[in-house]
Amino acid sequence: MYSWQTEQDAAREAYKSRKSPAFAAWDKWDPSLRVEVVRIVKAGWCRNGYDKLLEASLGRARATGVEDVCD
Amino acid sequence: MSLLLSLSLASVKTHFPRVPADDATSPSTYTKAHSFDQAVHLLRNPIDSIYSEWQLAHSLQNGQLDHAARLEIGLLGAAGPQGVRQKLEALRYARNWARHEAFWRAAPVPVHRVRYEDLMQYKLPTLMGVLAFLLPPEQLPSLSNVACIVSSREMGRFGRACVRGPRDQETLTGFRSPRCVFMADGARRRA
Repeated sequence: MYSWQTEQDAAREAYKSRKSPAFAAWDKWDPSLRVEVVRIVKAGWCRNGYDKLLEASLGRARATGVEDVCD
Repeated sequence: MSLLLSLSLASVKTHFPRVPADDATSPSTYTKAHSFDQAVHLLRNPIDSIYSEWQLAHSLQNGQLDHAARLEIGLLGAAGPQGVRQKLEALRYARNWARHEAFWRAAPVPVHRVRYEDLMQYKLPTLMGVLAFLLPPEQLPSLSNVACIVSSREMGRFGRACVRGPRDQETLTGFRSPRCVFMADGARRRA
């Protein structure tokens, strides 16, 4: 049995509170943890094209530590 | 996040499966139990979504989650006792993200997958793709009206002014949540 409530307070609306660009949080992670996370989510990361989106968002020249994860 | 559609209930927004305990339910069992016919699966990249999830989990205000709050913590998972705790939590979220993605990948109903980043950057074509998945061609709203709704949302107003006929009204009514109704009323009061 599931139950839920709808948030009626517009100030608490999720997802719309910020319009951050893709990978806006990239530089807020410890680099080694970031790599570890990407390796855990590797299948979905690659299937959904996040390797390409990361490259497009940060620039091809920037080292990310996960360039080869989908190879 | 997924928007699930069934014949008996117009739509359900869910984060399922969110935690390992949800694993007892297979995609097949879940969709059959709720008679879901199809799903729109909205997926955000794990770097932003896990960081956001971590912030949300640590921003309780008066016992409620504050979606807009941001704690200044330096680098997530950096060295130190706090960093170790952050790391363990972030890794747990990563495993949940992987599990969630795989769950909907295996769902035995038609699934329209949308990247959150595309929805934010290319609103009109992404939204048209969602509508084309959900609606038969004869019920699709016109491109100009969807464009009108998208642009009015970007200006902070719900697209009520874009409604020109019964079909548009029906589409808007079917997909707007109680929150959207509230937002529309709020925008009208402020106007």
